[in-house]
Amino acid sequence: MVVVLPDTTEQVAAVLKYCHAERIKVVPRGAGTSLSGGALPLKDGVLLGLGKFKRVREIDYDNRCVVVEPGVTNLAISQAVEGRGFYYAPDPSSQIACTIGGNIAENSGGVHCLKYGMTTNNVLGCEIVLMTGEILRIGGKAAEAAGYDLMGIITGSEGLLGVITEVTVRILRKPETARALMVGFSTVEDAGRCVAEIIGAGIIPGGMEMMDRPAIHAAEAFVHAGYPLDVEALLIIELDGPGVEVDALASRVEAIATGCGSVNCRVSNSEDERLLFWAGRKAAFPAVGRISPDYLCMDGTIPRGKLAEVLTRIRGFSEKYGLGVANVFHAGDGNLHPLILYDANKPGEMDKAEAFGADILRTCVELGGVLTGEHGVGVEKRDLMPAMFTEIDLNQQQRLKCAFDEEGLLNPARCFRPCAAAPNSAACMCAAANWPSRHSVLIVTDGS
Amino acid sequence: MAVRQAIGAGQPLEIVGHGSKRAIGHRLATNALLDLSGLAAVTAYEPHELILTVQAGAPL
Repeated sequence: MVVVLPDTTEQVAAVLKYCHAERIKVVPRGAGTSLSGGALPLKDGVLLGLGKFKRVREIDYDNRCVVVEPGVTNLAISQAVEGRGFYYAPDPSSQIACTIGGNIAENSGGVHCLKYGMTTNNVLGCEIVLMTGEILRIGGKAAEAAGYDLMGIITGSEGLLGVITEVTVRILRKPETARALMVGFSTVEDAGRCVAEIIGAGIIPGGMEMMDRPAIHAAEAFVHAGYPLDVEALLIIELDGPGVEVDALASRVEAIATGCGSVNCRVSNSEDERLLFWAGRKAAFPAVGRISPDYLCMDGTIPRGKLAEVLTRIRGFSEKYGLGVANVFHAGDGNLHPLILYDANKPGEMDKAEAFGADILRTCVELGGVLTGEHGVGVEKRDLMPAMFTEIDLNQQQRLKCAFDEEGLLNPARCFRPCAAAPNSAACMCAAANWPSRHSVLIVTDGS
Repeated sequence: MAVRQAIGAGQPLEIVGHGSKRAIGHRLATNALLDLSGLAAVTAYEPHELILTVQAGAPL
């Protein structure tokens, strides 16, 4: 393995051009916070670290956008513009460490994507380098671009199509005020119904999160946020906007929660209190780390109406595998993060945890959801792709990969299962699909 | 079916909805027209999911 740390787009292009000519595999990597193994190094490949790309190139308040290099952290973008009252909306929990390049690769979300969209809704343009070393510019500062929406294709492409070397993101004005409600329910079903009722009433909260009993207890023991311990489910609902509107919405949400059988409800009355409500939720993952030697963080999405059903099914799996589970959800958009508790030192437990996780994801698909919410497919969920997609779907996605990187050298064996006949070759999958790729022509002209 | 027939016959196919912009620019030189305006149904409305599922020819 060779690690290269380029500093300029031209250096990235030179590295990729060389690797392309020599048929060397390349794995692009930012901060390495991926939760699906999206940037795992290969022993027989080049690891292209983008840590030196950490400059903010331009702040354009008139057009409400910022041009940054891909190694800039998510939070650093907001920090660069907070002096003027702006911020970058997507806020994955790892935002102090994860970089914008990786956010685009995974189409990252976060607590606030319910109202403000995922990364794909907040990125305007980028510069990418193809495996051949060609440099491509996609989109720009304007919201509309001519031609195909390639930005939509690059966002969430998990490093399979090109290496991002510059990004233009949209910035938003910070909401004038924000208040959070902390609502406890004696059943998960009631909490799930409350989520649906709020959305159905036409209210889109800035964030709407749910925790189940094990997650509430772990978080409360860790940060003492004042969470009720006698409830089965807790919702944290944040409303943001002009003060008058927020106050009015808070009363409406409180009324809806009462109608859904909430057993207690608190509305934050100060910024400190709002942050305290959030503190437990934001610390939920490390908090669960305190009650179990290891945990596996899953990521799937279901239609909101299926929250209670999926939780019941997860409890069933928990009994079947004999492993505990704590659930933390982005309830507003149906994105689940079950944390499967296990001990890697006990033989077989990790395999059981992985099988448990796969059962959860298959259930998500079965209930009309998808395999991933915001963590990507990577190597973690690659083998589950056929549970979600037909062969026709997968072949079409593979053809897109081939259009950008027909030898399959860039971030190989992520998202798609490598072909047994020629591991890591994207082109062979096109051949398997009887697709007349340019590559098959290349093989002929090679005379090999 | 229509797409398969057009491919089979090597015929270019014009795909049209309600044709609101059809009068602009050159007319396509095709003998075959695929009119999707009949696919106008709202097939699902789930207010709690903020989801509306409609067919391709549904007028906005």
